[in-house]
Amino acid sequence: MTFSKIILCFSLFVCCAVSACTTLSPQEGGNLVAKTVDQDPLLPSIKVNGTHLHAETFGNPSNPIIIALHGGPGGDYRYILNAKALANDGFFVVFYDQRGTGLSKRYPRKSIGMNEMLGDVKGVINFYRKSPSQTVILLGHSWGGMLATAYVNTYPNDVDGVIAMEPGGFTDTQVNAYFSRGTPDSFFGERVNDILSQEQFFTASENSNNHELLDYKSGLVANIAVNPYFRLGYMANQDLLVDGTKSGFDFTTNLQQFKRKTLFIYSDGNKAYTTEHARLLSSAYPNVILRQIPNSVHSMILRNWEATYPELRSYLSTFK
Amino acid sequence: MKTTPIIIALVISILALCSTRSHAQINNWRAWQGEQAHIISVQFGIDYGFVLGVGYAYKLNTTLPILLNVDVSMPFGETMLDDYKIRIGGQAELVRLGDFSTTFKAQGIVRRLSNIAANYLNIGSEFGIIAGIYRPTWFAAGEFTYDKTLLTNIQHSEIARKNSFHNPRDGWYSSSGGNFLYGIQGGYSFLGLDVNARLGAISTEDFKGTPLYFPFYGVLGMNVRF
Repeated sequence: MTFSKIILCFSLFVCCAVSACTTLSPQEGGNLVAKTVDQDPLLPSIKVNGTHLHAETFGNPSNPIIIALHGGPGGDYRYILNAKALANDGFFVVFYDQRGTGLSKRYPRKSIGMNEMLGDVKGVINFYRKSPSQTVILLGHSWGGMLATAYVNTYPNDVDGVIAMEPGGFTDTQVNAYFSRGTPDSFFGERVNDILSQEQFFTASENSNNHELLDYKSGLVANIAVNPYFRLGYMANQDLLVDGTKSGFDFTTNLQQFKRKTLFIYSDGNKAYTTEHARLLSSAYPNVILRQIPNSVHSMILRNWEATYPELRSYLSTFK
Repeated sequence: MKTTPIIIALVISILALCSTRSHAQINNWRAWQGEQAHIISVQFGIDYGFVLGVGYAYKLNTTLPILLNVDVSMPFGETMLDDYKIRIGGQAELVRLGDFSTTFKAQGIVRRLSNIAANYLNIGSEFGIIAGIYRPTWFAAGEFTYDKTLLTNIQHSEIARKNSFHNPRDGWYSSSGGNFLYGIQGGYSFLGLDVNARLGAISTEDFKGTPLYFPFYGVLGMNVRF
């Protein structure tokens, strides 16, 4: 058999295989990843600050509001839904997927910065707050705790309380120090090679705006085995984490103006998150309660809710 | 990959070399001698992950120089044989002007990846041009390759189903794109052996960008001709 015949046979085989199969499109929402609110009108959503966010609420809208800010950046609120139990304690609990992640609307690379994120928090508060006197508390986990801190650093008189749960850092230096204490993956390990090998199966670049493939590929990096999720947001993660730490940031420049009581929580199971780190970060708040949750891990709302809830309830009782 | 698989891989590689056999992807047309018609090769490097590969090639006795090849590469990792890439195809020297030579290569690809999210089985193809200077003891060339995914079967894991909000769909997926690989390759030939290397960068097929995490490749290899 000549070389050209071999190529011809292979091509015929591929053509037959393609025509014989009903194939799915990897670029279509709902196949590899869930559809977003602009693709599925049945999803609960709000339109604020010029964007379209996936959002849900629990409790009486007239009660003190808790705005839950999820981690990532590029994660979503599914893993912190245990906090909806706070609605039973007389709070109106608001969850939303941040811009560019979860089931919220997607944006091209380098479209999401702190201005957009802070504007969205403000938009969500204004959307649900019925009167200027209605209490608002920000509950932020991990990156969400950073975002909550950035918000009160910018608008110190806008909210009544903050719960910061193991935020990575309030400056780029702190975040880098935290990450440097993590355990790096081996170059010859399964995880690194799974991530790199995946590049030949799904080949979208970050300039392609192929969010379905990019978000799907993010699953391996974020390790989908850890937490339940709606849909990861690759662009949001890159814009805020990669670009943010490169360009530098400091969310504490005006934090002394936030006089309200703040609850700062960290776990004892996250070895990269040392007590010294927690003390350093929490000290940026002028009026802070620092608590370590025993026998807990980073995703304490999901994994250690029973141990975390009493601390939240104790702090939140002061707002009723 | 833990110690035992590494030792096994090294033993296979050494046996391959000792038995005067080696890899076909990188080929110096001018180094072939006499009745030689076979190559067995080993390679190690970064090719969508840290990989170890072995290959075999057979040189047809035709007027137009043609080499048929099959090679298998596997990325490192704790689990052996869950991920692999098999390439079957050939290359032909289309142009020879003195020491200058241009080769066209075409290969079918079957590759599998198993990770926490899913098992993937992909059918793809790879076409490329290699052009450069070839002498009996060395060669240096540029290469341009198009690696295209054609069909991918995806079977999601229980973890993916449990943790994902929607139920990710299993089945055959149409092409999710392709990559261009462009770079250089070269080698040195002695005593029936070729020591060679490939080095280059990867671009997505729309030329809008690169793969997300490591858009380069670099492979060291050794061929034994017999």
